[in-house]
Amino acid sequence: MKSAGSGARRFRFLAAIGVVPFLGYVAFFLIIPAGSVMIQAFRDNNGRLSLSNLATVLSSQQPWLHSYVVSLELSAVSALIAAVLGLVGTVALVSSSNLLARRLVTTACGVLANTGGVPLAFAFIATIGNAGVATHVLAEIGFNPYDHGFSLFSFTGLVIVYLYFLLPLVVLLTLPPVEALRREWREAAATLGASPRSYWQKVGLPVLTPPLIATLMVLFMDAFAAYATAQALTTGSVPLVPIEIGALLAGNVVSNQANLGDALGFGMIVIVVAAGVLYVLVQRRTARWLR
Amino acid sequence: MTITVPPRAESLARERTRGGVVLELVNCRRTYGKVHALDAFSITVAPGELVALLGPSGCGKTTALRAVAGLEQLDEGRVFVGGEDITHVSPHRRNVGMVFQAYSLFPNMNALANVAFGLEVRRVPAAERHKRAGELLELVGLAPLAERYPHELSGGQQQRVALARALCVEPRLLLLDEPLSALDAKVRSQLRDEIRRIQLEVGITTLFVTHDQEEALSIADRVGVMRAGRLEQLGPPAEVYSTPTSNFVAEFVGSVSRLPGEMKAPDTVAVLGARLAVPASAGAGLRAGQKVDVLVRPESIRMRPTPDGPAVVARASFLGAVVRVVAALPDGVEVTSTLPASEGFTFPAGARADIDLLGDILFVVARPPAT
Amino acid sequence: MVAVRRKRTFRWVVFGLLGFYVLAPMAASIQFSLEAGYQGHLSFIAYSQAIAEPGLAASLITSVKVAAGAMVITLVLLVPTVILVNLRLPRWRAVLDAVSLLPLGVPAVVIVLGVLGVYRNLPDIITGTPVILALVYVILAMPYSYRAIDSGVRSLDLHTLVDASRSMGAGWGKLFSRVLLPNMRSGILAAAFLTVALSLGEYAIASIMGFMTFPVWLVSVEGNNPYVAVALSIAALLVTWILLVALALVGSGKRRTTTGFGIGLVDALDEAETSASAPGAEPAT
Repeated sequence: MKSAGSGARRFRFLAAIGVVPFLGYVAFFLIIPAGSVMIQAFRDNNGRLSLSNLATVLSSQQPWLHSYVVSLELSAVSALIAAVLGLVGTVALVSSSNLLARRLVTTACGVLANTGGVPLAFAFIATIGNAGVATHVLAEIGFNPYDHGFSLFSFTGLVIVYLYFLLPLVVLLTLPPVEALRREWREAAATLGASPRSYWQKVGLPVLTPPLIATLMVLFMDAFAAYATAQALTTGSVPLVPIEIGALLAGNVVSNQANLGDALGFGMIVIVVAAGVLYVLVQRRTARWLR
Repeated sequence: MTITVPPRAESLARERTRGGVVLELVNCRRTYGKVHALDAFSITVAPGELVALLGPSGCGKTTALRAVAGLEQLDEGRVFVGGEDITHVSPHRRNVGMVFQAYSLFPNMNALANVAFGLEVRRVPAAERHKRAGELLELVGLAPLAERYPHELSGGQQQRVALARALCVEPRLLLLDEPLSALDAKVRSQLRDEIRRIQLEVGITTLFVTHDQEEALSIADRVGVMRAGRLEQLGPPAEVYSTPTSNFVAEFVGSVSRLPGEMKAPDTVAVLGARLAVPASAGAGLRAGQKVDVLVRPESIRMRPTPDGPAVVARASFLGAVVRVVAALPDGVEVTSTLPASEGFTFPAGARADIDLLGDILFVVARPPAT
Repeated sequence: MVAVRRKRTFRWVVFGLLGFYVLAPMAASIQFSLEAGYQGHLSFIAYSQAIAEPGLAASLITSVKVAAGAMVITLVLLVPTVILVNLRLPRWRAVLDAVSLLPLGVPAVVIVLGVLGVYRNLPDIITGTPVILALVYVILAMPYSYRAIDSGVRSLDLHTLVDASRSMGAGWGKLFSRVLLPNMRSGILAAAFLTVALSLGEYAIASIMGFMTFPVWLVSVEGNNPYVAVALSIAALLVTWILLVALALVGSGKRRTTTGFGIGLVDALDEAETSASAPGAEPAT
């Protein structure tokens, strides 16, 4: 298809118009709202540029900093526990040579990784809520966890529930890197005198570390941004940033600072994007090595 | 015919490995379900010798090699290195160096660190092990690439690093599992000679597994041809090539031309109009009057274009150094002959040719009775 | 031999524990929902109450409408764009890939914060009705739906198909409907499934904006009648699971053994990696 230089360029230009709907849509419903949040975070009640919102959020007199801390803690703890347990699951999965079983488990993981929100919260309430089935069973044995300070509607409870969709995600994300650990490495290390432990220490774990960090970032972002599960379970009893934003929007919490919610949202964006950037950086190295 | 091996070059004082140790496998058996990967397999490799295990895939050669390394368990049999029974020693205590087919370099370390890995495991201090690793990279000709990571190296370079890494810990044995199979042809032949040169220089007892007969013949002191878990023949390359002890070996280690013949006596066969002696190794249990196939190497068949010769040329291919001619005998059997191109004969299709047998008969097989 | 046995025990123990953790809540929920009977008798009364619960039908209809809307908008918006980019604008591919991943960087709560802030003054027909939900859900699902459609298109030899059809005289319409779309079926279905699954289960934005979709309604029921809430949750989970398993079967053979957002997310993350390590370059097919 021969075309003169300028003709082709014009053709390209016309074709480029074709992506306008897509880009426009994203701009309209994502960029502009997100941009507005980030800009409004720096506007005070009179609409002038100011850092007062940020100051309020970061102030130790106010509850907002605490909710960031709790959110970060919740995300970090869930991510770490999920990563460790999930990795054990992945290693167990990889050790099986039954392809059908593997396919089944990964499909199940794909389904479970999307299970969350309200139905999941209620399922756990039915299990280990204070009137839950498992709670009753344990009470009959004589050990009612609620008598010993445990509650589903707490930080610990949230971690337990978050694990439900984070664990399968770990298996899915770590399966390719763990499978990429070549048998030849282990065998070569053995012939060179390395015990299995030495191999893991010097080769296995170092090679797995970048993908593991990447996975941790994904888990962290997922847990940090989660709203539905937390809301359905704790309805605000555990201070989390997404919940606080929701409360501000619903007018449940009235603040004399108009754009406080935006400041909180800005903080969320910064944290999530930082995790995302770290993810991308770490993945670049993995891609190079495992080529 | 004997092969002369060049005298060992002066090496960088590898006192301990010069001279090497004896490797012995005795009556090894390994079965997977119904398949015998190794079946009553025994072999002895002399100190400093390079033995090539040659055979088609599934013949057990890799299993044998991995059993020596400790990466495969044997159901029966023993492995002795330098007189010591290592059959039940775990692989990381055997001190054997192994080079795998591909992908064995650790991706999180550069070439130098890879080579130094064995010493690192033995807690040799960094300065010393880097020096040693540097020497070995020199030996394989890759000193300038020491800082490169495996993904920045070509296939051939990776295998050289793998070789340096295996030798760095001064193992008692060197095991090579089809190290050249994943490389392209040109790199393969270069690297093959390099490996042999280094092996001779270091003087290490070596077991080399391959399915490529040219590779085996060109670098080995002795070639062991394997089939279905058993050793069919073991001997110097020329011996295995010219005096095979079975039909399988004859056909595997080089190309074969089949000529129809008839036994006139247990040790004489009539073929191509001549009566030739059948060497003892080439056939046993044959009686006079038996119809047989006589196996010879194509280069042992001489063809000359002659106006009234008995054979008719079917096709001729020019292969650079040789010309391959396929001609039909009066009874229809097709015979392949290889001639040096320098002899300058042309064989147009349909021309008549004379066929002669030079050289020895490889092997004689009784022709199965016509059904 | 010992090593093999140890490995197998390890495998069974791990999967036994994980399996228990996965299935226990489901089993407990079913048991719980049956306990709605009086004096400890098990009965299905919670289920019959659930069906009779006021607002169920309305909320379900709302959710389904929103999901359908989001699905249609997604397909109408993305399919032509992806085809166009792969066909005529290869250099834009990396850009669009990156753009499709942007929603991952903005939590849903923040999106609704921004949307309410900016579009408060828009006509009521958009912001006052669930239409806005459908519009926003398209964005939420985009990292996954874009990837699904893009994979579907990349698996075709697009240029050859288009050139061959055009040379035989097919117009663009026919080309689209008879050649391109049928071959992209699994990618389109995957995108549709993903969008619908996400829309049906989304709670944050719907509740904050005050629309009575199914999840929002479910939460409101829980206070009055937890048994009904749990019974309906089980039903909802089952439906979602069936959807996602269907997605896995639809996409099987063309991809790795991952599914649902699993596929969506894993592939999306892979794209982030490849587009980061080779900016502007064409990712290998």
